[in-house]
Amino acid sequence: MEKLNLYESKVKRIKFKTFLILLAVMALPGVALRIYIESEWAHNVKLLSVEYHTVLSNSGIELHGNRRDLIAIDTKKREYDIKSKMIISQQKYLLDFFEKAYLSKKFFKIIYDHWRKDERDWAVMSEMTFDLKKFSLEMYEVYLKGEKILTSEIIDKTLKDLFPLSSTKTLYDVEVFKNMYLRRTVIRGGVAPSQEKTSVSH
Amino acid sequence: MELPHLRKKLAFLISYAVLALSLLLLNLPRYMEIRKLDAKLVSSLKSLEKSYNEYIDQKKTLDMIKTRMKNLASFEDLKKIVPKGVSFTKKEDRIFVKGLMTPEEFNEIIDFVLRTSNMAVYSVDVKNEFRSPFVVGEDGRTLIMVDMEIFNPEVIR
Repeated sequence: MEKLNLYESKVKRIKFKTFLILLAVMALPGVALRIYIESEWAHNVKLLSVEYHTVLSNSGIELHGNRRDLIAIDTKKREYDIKSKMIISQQKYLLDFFEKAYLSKKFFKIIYDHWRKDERDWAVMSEMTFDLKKFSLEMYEVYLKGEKILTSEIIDKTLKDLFPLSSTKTLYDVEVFKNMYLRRTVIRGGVAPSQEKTSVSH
Repeated sequence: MELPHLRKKLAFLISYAVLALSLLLLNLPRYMEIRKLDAKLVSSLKSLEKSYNEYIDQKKTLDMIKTRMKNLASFEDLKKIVPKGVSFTKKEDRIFVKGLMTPEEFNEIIDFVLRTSNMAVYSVDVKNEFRSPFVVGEDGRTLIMVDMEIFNPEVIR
């Protein structure tokens, strides 16, 4: 039997429903890929949150996976850097204080520890200057003849460790009474130029 | 099937596939953006972690240094032992003590500073008022002129 085309002039059209289905099918791979990318990214962000949990929680940052995270992280990082610098300068300041305090305390300790108060060597200090780099002590000593080691000598000897450039100058040493002598001494000292910048060993 | 009909179908299929591919490729910018963001985020986090660890380390070191200071005193504590009439001022990290006092009072100040771990005498200039140790003041007391610079512990917090 011969096939007859009764609608030769009819233009073929698709139904609206079919069109919608075709459109959905066409968009499906794109949408699916987008969903996959976004969920993979969210998962990745979650992994990063877990990996850097300590830092993030202590810094009060919550990751959302957008550019605002970068700004928050950068701000916090700069804050830590500034804080670290401040702490380092505080440490240097404290260490510098310890060095100066060590020198100062040692100086006064030597003087106070070796100040003899016995009757055989009566010493009086009339002048004292000290400024971490140099010192000067002027003292009067009344002593009995035969006294071998005087306060001034002990102090001069012990201060040499702290101030290597120290020297003693006896201004006078006269007999004021029978067997009793009066001595006026000036002890001066300073740190060596190389010692000024190097740290004092504790 | 007739040839024009087949051509039409093929054309439809090709345009359909091209459109589908275009929609698929529309995700490319977002994918690239995420890749860039990921790389930046990882490097930022690493850098943040480094800064954070350094900050914690420095803080621990500072705390360790501070623990060396056991016997702490304040400006007010020192003020209590400085005799009346003696100038006692502070400026930044220095305390200035200037005036006449007895050697015992001077010794007390020095002894107090020596016992603390957050104070130190930075400079001292002591002169006997009468330039001689054997001359005493009118009231029987020997007075000495003291000019001292002491480290102010208030700057250490």
